[in-house]
Amino acid sequence: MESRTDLTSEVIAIVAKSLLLRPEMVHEGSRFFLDLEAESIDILDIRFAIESRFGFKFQNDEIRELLQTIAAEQDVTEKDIPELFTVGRLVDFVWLKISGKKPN
Amino acid sequence: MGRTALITGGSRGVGRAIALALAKDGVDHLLINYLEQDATMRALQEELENDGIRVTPLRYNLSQPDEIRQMADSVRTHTDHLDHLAHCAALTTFKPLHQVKPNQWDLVMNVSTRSFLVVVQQHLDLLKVGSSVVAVSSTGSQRFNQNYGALGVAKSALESTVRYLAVELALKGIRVNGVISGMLGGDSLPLFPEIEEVVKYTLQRTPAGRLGTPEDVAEVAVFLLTRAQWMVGQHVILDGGYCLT
Repeated sequence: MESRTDLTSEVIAIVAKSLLLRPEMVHEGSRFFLDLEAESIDILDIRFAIESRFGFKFQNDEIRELLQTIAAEQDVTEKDIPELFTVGRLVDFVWLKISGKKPN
Repeated sequence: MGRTALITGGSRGVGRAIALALAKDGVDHLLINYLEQDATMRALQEELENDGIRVTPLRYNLSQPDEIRQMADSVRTHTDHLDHLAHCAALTTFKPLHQVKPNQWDLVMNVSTRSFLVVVQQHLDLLKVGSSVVAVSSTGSQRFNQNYGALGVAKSALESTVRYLAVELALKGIRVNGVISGMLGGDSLPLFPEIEEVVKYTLQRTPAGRLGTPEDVAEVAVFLLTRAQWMVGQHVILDGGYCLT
């Protein structure tokens, strides 16, 4: 994966395929649960597809930890987390995993 | 040569109970597949190893056939035979069937049903004459259960897979059977909004007067695996008599 932009396109394609959406309906700011109407099993499906495509495994509770980090950054409670979990956040996470770099 | 067993979805629930029951029955080496929850797996491993059982944790995602192949490669580095194989892995979304989306259907079917076939295929060379296989199904395969459609269909297909494999593999001296479990209580209760009403209704219709436990299912699964020598391609229903009322 050469750039984060390339990665974003790939992740959007995976998300769109899983949720049966057209890729143009998905963007970095799309919130999984609110905008894309994803359910917890969809997040698992997307996770498996990402693991298979990029060759790494999510460790235990990594997604939950990611969401908790987001909540802490935004100074919101855990119940507000679904509003904050976006495709862009997932791209950041995958980028960190495969490149070892934190997003700008 | 010690007895060896592979259990899919074995770190918790019915899989965990089968692991413990097989250990009690004298199995020396348990190879336990799980998806995540390392802490739960570690706790089970510690419990078994304290009793002198050899444990090999296998963290592989059964929705991916390639990972099942990798798991089988790993199993072969630990043993040259399997006496027993128990398929407990399952996954679902609790909602009406008419609301299940295609990706959700695929995931439920792949983890709960297709993986059983692929696991058997990939380990067939390790299953020798006299070995046995059991698959864990549920009563939702045979009758309507609220919000259970996706897994109900998957379990129906699982039971059919058991019957076909049972006939085909009987020729190789491998017995394949299944258990069909009714609703289990405690931590095994499915999580959906109307579950309290479903439990109340189920208890009213259950002659035994209680929900099942993973240990109830494990006891029969181990019987099928270890003693039911003339039983081929059958399913034992364990539901406290619910299906009779």
